[in-house]
Amino acid sequence: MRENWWKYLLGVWMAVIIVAAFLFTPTAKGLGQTTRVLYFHVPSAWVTTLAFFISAVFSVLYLMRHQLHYDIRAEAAAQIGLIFAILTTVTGSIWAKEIWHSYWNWDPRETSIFMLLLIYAAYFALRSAIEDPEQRARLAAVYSLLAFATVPFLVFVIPRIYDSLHPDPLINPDRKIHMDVRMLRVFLGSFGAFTVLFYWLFTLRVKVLSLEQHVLRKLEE
Amino acid sequence: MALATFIIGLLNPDTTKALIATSNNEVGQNIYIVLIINLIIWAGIFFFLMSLDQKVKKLNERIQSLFNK
Repeated sequence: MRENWWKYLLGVWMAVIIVAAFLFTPTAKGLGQTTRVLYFHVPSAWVTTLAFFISAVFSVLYLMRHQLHYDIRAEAAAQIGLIFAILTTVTGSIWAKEIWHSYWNWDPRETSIFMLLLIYAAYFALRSAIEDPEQRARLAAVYSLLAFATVPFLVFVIPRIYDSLHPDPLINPDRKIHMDVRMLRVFLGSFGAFTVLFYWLFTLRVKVLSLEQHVLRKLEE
Repeated sequence: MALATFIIGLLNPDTTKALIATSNNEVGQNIYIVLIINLIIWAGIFFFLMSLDQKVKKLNERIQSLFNK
């Protein structure tokens, strides 16, 4: 119980965010009730970027130190990143159907996240194609770095260069936050909750992958 | 501290007004249904993660004791 306090706190915190997102925040002009997707869709996109960044960091550490536990962490982060990228795409698409009257419009945002999904799907295709753990870790680490090099362009640059119907992002050209203070409060609270959720999923996935590696190594001995 | 500030912020008169305004129309009534569904989904995910967490912990202990014999 004592070591799990932050997990229980997350349970309550996320429930408070869900209640606040539906009941305590006003709607944005022109978006109506669909505004509420903001508190789940954008933090999912944030977790995607964070997870891919962490995957790249552990890939660098693997290339520097050649220890397989770094590769495990890079893989776990990329897996969670891909899951949250899919969640971001699906929630965005449902929102687009309501606002743009089509699930998919090839808007710059949609196109860039689609490319990101393909790039990281290829990361797992690469991993599954190589049997030797050392070789797999080395090639996957190099690929992970190349894949992450595209993230700033696909997430931050391309949607801002081309005209997009996507609502004004929080990091916008005039460097001002166009958001009601109550919305901002719940929005930032949601970012915090999603980040802790990512940390939980990440540690859990790392434990499972480490156990798998440990058992396989012992069985080979 | 941050949690306290957040909860106090939610309980201010403006947010109460927003709550009342939302509940007084049809959309407001439907939103309660969506809210409850969301809470149930989160509760399901949360308890699943908790049980998975415990299972992985026990499995780790069993594997360690098995290979350390």
